[in-house]
Amino acid sequence: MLRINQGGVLAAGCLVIGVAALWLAATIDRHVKGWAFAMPGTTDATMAPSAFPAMILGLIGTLAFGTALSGLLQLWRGREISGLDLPRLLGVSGTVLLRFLMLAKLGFVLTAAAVIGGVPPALGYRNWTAITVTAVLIAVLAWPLFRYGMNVILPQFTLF
Amino acid sequence: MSDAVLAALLNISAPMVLLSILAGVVIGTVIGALPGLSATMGMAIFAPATFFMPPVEGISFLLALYKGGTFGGALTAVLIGTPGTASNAATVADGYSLAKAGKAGKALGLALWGSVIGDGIGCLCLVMFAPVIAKFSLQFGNAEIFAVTVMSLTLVAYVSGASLLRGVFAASLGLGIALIGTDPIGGSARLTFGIPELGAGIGVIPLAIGLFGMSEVMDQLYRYRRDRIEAPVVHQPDLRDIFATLWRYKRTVGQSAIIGAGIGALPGIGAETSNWVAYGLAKRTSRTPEKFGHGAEEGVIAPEVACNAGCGAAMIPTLIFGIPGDIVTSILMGALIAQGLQPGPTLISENTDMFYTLYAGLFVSMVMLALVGLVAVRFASAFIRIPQPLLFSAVAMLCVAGTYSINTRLFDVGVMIAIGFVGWWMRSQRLPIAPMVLAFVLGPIIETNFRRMLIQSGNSLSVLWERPLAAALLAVAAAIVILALRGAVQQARWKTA
Repeated sequence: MLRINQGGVLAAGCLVIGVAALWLAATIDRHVKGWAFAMPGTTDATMAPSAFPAMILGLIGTLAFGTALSGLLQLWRGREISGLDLPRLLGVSGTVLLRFLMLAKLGFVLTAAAVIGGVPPALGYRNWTAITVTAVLIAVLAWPLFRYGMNVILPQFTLF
Repeated sequence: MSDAVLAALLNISAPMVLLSILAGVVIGTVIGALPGLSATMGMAIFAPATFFMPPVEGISFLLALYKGGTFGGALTAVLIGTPGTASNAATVADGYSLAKAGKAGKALGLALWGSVIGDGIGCLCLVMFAPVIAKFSLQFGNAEIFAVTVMSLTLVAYVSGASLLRGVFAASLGLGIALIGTDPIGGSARLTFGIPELGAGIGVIPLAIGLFGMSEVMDQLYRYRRDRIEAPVVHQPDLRDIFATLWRYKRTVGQSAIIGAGIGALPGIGAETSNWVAYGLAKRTSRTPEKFGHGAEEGVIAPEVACNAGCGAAMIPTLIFGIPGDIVTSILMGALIAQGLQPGPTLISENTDMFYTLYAGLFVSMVMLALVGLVAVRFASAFIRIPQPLLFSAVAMLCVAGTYSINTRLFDVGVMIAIGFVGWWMRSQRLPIAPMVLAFVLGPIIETNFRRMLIQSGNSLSVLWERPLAAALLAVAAAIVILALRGAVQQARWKTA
């Protein structure tokens, strides 16, 4: 298990958010379409559509740097050291992302069955009867429930 | 008015409405009782299902789920010492002590009937005060609405975490996400980065499912250890004993209900705060304060009455001002808007029949909570022992299906998962999530009123201090900031001393 300082993680995350927010605030006119003025027919540009977003993005940037600073102080003081289970972190993130990427091709039923059938054994839970019953119940029953109860067709198998 | 009452009674007695309320209470109680799942998560996951129901059934279902979830959280608080929701956190100390002393049935009985009484008082507050406040709120202009939303955000940032800076930062992230989509005044597209699906912005339900559902699932699966959860067997409580105890502590019941309803009605804060305030006051006014933390019956009654009294009262700011009292009501507001009902001062006068039906539905769900609760108390231990890896894998599937069903777009599922990762990171860094969701909901209200106010006043901010109510509300917000800064300075001094 890796030993990491949570202050460093907080500071890094906030710095990324802060830089992104300030960059967006500086280039806001490129990201806002429409009139240059508050209302069509007026010449008042102070409350143009880009003014409020720029103000909020500036606020996010400032607060992000402030929070990053508090994280750096934690890092400097050496507090908040905790363990990071990197294989578990990558496993959980990878499963969620892979499931999303496969959803369009394999459909809801197969991906749901794969996740419910795969995640609990990977975490050490080995009651196969319970796993099978849950996988079948959720994966197979959810589809008709959404189809006929809510008129929603969940993603279907389209690989072939 | 009598016609509206008659119409409401007729509507509420429809079998499908009663079935929706029963389903809401059952699902809410089960979700609340499952460790790691909360009423908020349940509301977020099941809200899309209500878009396909008629308004009365859909909204009644969600309200019933909210009530069931709030009570359900007490089951885990008492049986395994882990609150199902933040609203039940204060119940743990004495409820769990009572369970360890072999009085789990009595503790759960007090929690159940305390919840029912609190719920009834909260609903009465809603029925009595909502029309009066709605009339008063018609005097609110853009400046007042802007000021009340700023005050709500400051309050929620202050109460939801240890640090005001982190709370305000989380709120600013919510305001930032709310910018994506269409300018509310001019209608121009902004921050869509050429992605057409972002033109309509990000919905509150995918955001809430991502932050409260998916991030919780990922966090729980990451932290999972193969320790078996042990919960005591619960014997059905003796109802005469429960009511005798509640009568003995009638003063605690009364003061906790007033605290719960009062705090619940404040825009921005809700049951997460009121349960602690009620617990603190019950301890201070008790004849046996030394018993608190070691199995005091009042220590279970006070927080449960308070947090359930807030359920009905929290709907006052949501329905009348369009400003949610807490996260759950912000999800409820999203569902109301999806049903074509825009919360605001005229909502009640324009939809009188429906509102009387909802009021009636609140009282019916209170009765159903009492009946379902009696059964739930008996089977609570069985819910709690459901294996976590199975439970969270299944919840992940419901998060995906629920989000997809809103617009039948995989894009929304992608947004929900991305927000889930953000929420997971925020949890790990102790950045509060509640201010982010509330700010996201309040963002368009703040922007619209702020910009309209400036357009009307010729770009002058002086209107904020020239109008007494707006000035008073902003003064409250400023006082909260000063209070938080003072607290931070004092804390720093204690640490260095």
